[in-house]
Amino acid sequence: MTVPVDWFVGLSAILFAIGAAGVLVRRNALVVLLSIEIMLNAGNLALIAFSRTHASQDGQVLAITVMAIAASEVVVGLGIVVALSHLRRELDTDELSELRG
Amino acid sequence: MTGLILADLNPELPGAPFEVILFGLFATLAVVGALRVITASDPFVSALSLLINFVSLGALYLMLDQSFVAIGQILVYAGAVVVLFLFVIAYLGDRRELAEDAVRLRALRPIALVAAAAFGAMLVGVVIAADFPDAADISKKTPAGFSFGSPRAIGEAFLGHYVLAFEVTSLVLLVAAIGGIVLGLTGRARHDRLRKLMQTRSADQQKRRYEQAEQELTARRRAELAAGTSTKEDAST
Repeated sequence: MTVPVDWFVGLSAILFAIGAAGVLVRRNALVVLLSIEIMLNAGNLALIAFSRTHASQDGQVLAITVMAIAASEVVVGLGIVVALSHLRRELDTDELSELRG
Repeated sequence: MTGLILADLNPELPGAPFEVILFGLFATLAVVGALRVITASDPFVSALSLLINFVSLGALYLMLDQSFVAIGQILVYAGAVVVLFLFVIAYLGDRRELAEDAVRLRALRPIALVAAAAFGAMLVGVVIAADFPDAADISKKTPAGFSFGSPRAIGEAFLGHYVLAFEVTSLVLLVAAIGGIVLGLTGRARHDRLRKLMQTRSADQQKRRYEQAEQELTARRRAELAAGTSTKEDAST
């Protein structure tokens, strides 16, 4: 492996920050879910890079588990978005504040 | 061993720069895709940019000699997750973000951006400051089918040391599937109930209006009959 692991982990950090910015700034519930996917994938990239560095399977096992959890999260998140869209027209995260206190 | 494969394909090409170029290409694609996801106003464009991000991450996994996870990335994320997102976006129709004036928490958005940028700068700073070990050598001979990142090695890890995590993950997937069905059914049920309520209400209104009209008609006819018995000229006209 000629590319040092630092680069992969740095890329993972940048992607995670982009995803966090998307979650904080965007108001469309669907785009917030997409940004969460970016963050999960950034974490996966770091796991995979360290797994390769130490030549152990543990990081891969964790990454595959994260994929399964992300798939579950997408199913439940999109289910909530579709159910919300039946109840009300907008999907604005600023307006969806029923669960607040 | 992407580097070795490439070196085999191109004996004259030195391995190192080419892999660096590949990393630069896919890292740029991943970052551009991610930025497009959070800047595009159309959710459809966001989902398709996420596809670019996922595919280039899969290529990076391949560069890290993890073919199984790379295939899983393409199958699960690019194949299932993005398609699910596209289906939902198409189902919900065109819902672009509202105009900027309508943003209630607009004052907080620059603060959120600064916070995210600071967080990213902190992460990158830690990565630069940290001293990571060099990659372990995995080029030594291993038993057939047991190389690093092969499906067999991952299967051994999952069904051996990590069997509990494997079982719990399957349980989580089951619960998520049930949760998705329940969420879909409750949303659908409420939708149907509302529509039925609207239908019955309009039917009731129609019935009431019909009965009202009928009563008015009979009253008028009675009045006409009463008038007809008193004056025959009025009844004939």
